[in-house]
Amino acid sequence: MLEDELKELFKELNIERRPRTFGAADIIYHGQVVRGRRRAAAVAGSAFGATMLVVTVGFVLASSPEPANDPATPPTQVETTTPLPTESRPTPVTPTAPLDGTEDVEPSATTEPDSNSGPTRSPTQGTPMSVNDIPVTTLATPSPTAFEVAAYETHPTEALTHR
Amino acid sequence: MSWDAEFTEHFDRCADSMRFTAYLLCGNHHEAEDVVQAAFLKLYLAGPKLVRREGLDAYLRRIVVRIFIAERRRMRWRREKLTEVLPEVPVRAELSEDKLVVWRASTTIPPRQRAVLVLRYWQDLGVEETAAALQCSVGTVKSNTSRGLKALRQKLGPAFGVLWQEVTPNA
Repeated sequence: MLEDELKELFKELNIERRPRTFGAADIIYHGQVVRGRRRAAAVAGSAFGATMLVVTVGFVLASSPEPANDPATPPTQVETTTPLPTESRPTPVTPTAPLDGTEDVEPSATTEPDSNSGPTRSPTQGTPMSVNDIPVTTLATPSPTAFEVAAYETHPTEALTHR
Repeated sequence: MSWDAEFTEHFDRCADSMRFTAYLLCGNHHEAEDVVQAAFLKLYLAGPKLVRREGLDAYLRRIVVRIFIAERRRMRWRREKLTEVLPEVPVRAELSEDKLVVWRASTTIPPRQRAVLVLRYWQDLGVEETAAALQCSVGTVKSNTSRGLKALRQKLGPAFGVLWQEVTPNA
């Protein structure tokens, strides 16, 4: 059998002993050298990485634009002035809001203002005004609900004061 | 016991066995010395991190086999070209002619098959232990064993003396 031949061959080859060319002390010394080299490489690598991080952060902070030193100005408000709708044309009603069933209102969400009456600024104090001439200044408020429309139709002045 | 003392004790106990195993794997003493030294160095560096130190022999055997296979794989990309014929052929006088033919033929089979044959027929390892040492499956060990023996038989032929010229062209 070839397997037996191999085993006998291996046994015969093992008879002759050769002297050792290195010992445990050599391995330990070389291992300590390798370990020290790895530690030095790790320290150098971490130091290099930290330095690069600091330099990168400093570069980014230095290149960022400085904030404007202009004098403080009051914040601008975007005002939208819409004319007060007349009694014949009720304010737009959202289509989902149900009415009380008294009258039919167009369910359009947006209505075009009259071409004649453009947007006007808030009136000066002391000038007598009628209900129809009072402009309403809103700051992007949502469209009035059906309850507000009904309250406006019954008591226009109170509805304005409440708003 | 410190790791250095434990390592020294382990080295004195199994250095010769590992050197001979590496010699069977590599086919020459010089490469075997390098492989064993690298294996012991890896063991020394990995020792403090080992949780269990009961299977140091098996771990060292695995390192030796892995280093041998890695070295053989790396030889393809080296500039030095290794040849089968050495300038000074170390003829071992105590070996018979048949053993010498078997030895020459065993050095020509692929490294993995050679490692399987050495582990199974010299270290007397089972199929599972050989698979663990080579980090492969049991089926791979069986197939490598079969292929290695088949390659040896093809090299040797029915009569060793007739094929002596084929195995060793310079003889």
